[in-house]
Amino acid sequence: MERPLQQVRIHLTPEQQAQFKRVTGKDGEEIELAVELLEERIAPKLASNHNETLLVDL
Amino acid sequence: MEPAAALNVRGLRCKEMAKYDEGRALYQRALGLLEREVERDQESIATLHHNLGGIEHARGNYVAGEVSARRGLGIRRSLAGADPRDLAADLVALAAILDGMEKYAEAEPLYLEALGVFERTPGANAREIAVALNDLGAQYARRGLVEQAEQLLTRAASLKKETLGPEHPDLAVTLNNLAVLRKWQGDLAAAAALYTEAVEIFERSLGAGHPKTVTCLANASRCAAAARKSPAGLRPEDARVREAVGDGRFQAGITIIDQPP
Repeated sequence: MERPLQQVRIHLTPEQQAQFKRVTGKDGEEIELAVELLEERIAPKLASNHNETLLVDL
Repeated sequence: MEPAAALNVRGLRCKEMAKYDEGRALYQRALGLLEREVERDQESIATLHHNLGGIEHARGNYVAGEVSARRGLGIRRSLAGADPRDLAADLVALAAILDGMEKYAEAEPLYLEALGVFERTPGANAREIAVALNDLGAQYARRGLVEQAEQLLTRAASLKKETLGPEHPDLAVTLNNLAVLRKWQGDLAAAAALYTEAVEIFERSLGAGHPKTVTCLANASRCAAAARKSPAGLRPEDARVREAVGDGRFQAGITIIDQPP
């Protein structure tokens, strides 16, 4: 069974709350993010390519 | 100076557009930058070796591809905090290269290990899973394991459609593979319908001259030729084949068959 993603809560500063309101139209003092998603935002990794097999019918 | 991450992004784009020499040069420049750093970012270095292997896989240079893919995998395995999803992606990439050399017995356990990792790891990327399913399904098709191949390729197509959308060239890759399987099973009508869809996606997303489009079109032409030669003739229900043969799309004299499987 898949275990749930670990969540982190980040408290927004008043400026960030105002920015959040401008973008989403909603009030919010905190945001909650999965750790994996947060990592992808603050420390993006180099993307890797995919080696996909394309069958040839000879 | 352009950072390694930007060079890598350009390298990925070059691979997509089949500009293999240019992509390789960009990855090597990125690698050169990272290897000169005092505190080496081994994770990124592993990814660049993975990507260099991908360039060689795409142009069918499997021996060189295996060297790069093994180097990337070796570095990743040595890192204490390596993301298991990246390790699994390295395994799939190496397995696809081994498949190119028909080293199926060596490749199959790598796919199975990767799929096991994806299954156990939260946040596993559906696209990575679909690539593993596509590649293992293609291997099973080549080995004549029709039922297993069909099951995996169907799952891969459905995952890709769901996560990448109906116009993505990765979806067309799996539709082409399903078409090949159908043709090998003798179901020419189903094969023709799948080829039609795959060719159209490739043409719209990558262009008519891209090696993947050309390979798929060549496969489709052989399917149409087989339908024309069929001793039983076409049944009324084979209308899709009749359509494909009739409109001339798949009758072009395609001779470029030197693309990797």
